[in-house]
Amino acid sequence: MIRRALEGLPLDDIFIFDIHGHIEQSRVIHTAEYDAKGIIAKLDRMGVNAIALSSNPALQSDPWLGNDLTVQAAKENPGRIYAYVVPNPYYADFDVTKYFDSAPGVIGIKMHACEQMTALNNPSYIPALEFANKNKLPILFHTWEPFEVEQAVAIGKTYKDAPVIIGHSGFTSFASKQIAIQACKSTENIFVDTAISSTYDGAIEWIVGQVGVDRVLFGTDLPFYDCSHNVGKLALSKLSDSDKIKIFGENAKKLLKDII
Amino acid sequence: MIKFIDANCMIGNRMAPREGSPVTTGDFLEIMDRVGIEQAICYHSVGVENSCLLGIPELEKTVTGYEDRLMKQWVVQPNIWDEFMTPQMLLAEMKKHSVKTVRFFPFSKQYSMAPYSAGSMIDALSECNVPIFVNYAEMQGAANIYDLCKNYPKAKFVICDPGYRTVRFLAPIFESCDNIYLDSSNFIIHNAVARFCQYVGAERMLFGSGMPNASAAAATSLIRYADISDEEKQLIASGNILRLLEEVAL
Repeated sequence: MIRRALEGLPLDDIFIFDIHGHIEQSRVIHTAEYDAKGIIAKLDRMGVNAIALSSNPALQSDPWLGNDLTVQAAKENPGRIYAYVVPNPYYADFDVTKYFDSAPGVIGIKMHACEQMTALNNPSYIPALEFANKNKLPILFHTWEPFEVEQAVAIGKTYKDAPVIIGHSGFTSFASKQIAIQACKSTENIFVDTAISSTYDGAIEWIVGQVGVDRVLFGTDLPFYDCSHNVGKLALSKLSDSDKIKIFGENAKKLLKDII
Repeated sequence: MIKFIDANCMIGNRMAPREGSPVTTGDFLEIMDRVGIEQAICYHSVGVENSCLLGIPELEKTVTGYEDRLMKQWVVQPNIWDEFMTPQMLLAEMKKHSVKTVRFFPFSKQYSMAPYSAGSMIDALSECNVPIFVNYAEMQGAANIYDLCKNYPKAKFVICDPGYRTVRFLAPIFESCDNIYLDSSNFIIHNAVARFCQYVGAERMLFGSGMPNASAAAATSLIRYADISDEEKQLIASGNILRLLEEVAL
């Protein structure tokens, strides 16, 4: 694996599942090749088997338009693109459940309260959370500030049947990090991901040392970060090959065993 | 295999090393060996966190014995009320200590890069073709970077740690200013390197890791996996910085 990464070769001899990506253009970040075609081209270049995406338009604007785009991408690219549905707390008639019946490849819920100018504990999110819990669907949280990590953890402790993924692993501050780490240690259904821009060599080894390799899922935040950024960080880390393989995809395979 | 020279690396004991991050010189060299970086241009943490003048001998101590791997970069500042060195003294000392690049931290150290403040220092450095490094965030806005390039047309500026939210700000500056280069560390949006090569040109990007606060493994992978030619990869990885260093005339 190290040799392939040092030579810039795709890591296509292992299973890699990216648990944290986005599709379509962003309002604030220059994005290009952000459609399914551009994303799959990058996956092929890196040897990544599949990615689970939420839609930037759904996070930032029209929930129907945005979620329709993601689900359509999943439908047209089975086995390569999976979809998170983004609930919306402002439209009472926006129903996440209908997306799960409409197409295969819709795997869970993505929560991004700060982009939606609210809080993760907004009661209007409850129907979506209850649906995820009842159907044991993963809930991926964007978390940045300590209060967001706390709220995501509280949701994880309330909805124990849904795997809860603390996106970005709380790595934006010491406080956020500690909350995420403690939550993983104490609560079985809480995980972290590697979609962190502000990490350094040694970070992923430290996270694994804290929470154990089975709680860490591979994520890139594509297209905000190039896929190679997080692939390289993990592939060239000091972790053992078996730990890398778990994080790259075996952990996600176990978590999503009925889906992927 | 691509030869990498890291143009953006901070070494030395620093105030708040994050858990698991590299701290000792040995830590940095181990990472460099693991991810395939031959040499690194390093500035010292004390130079930015505390005093430019204190950072200079600390850097000297830190790289002693590793001169084949670690090249020195000094953190400098305008000589306000004799707080630092005159431009002439600085150039003489740089020549004596084989230092070919410098870095400014105007926001952290609270001074202006405008000609009335830093002009004599920057003019002297640019007369000798010394590349001047400054972090994007230290300039407090893209408009200030544009002004920097226009105020000092003979200087060569390397904008470091651009981050993933800066393309819309930086792209027009690269179009209208030819005396600016971009460090690749944290320039990490999807296909960023390929698009930079397409719209600006590989000859204006310098490979940087951003260590210790960013990942050298990630930074090298960004170049290795970029959808660009091998020639472009090699230019970015080390060709461009070597060219700039050769042009320095102290």
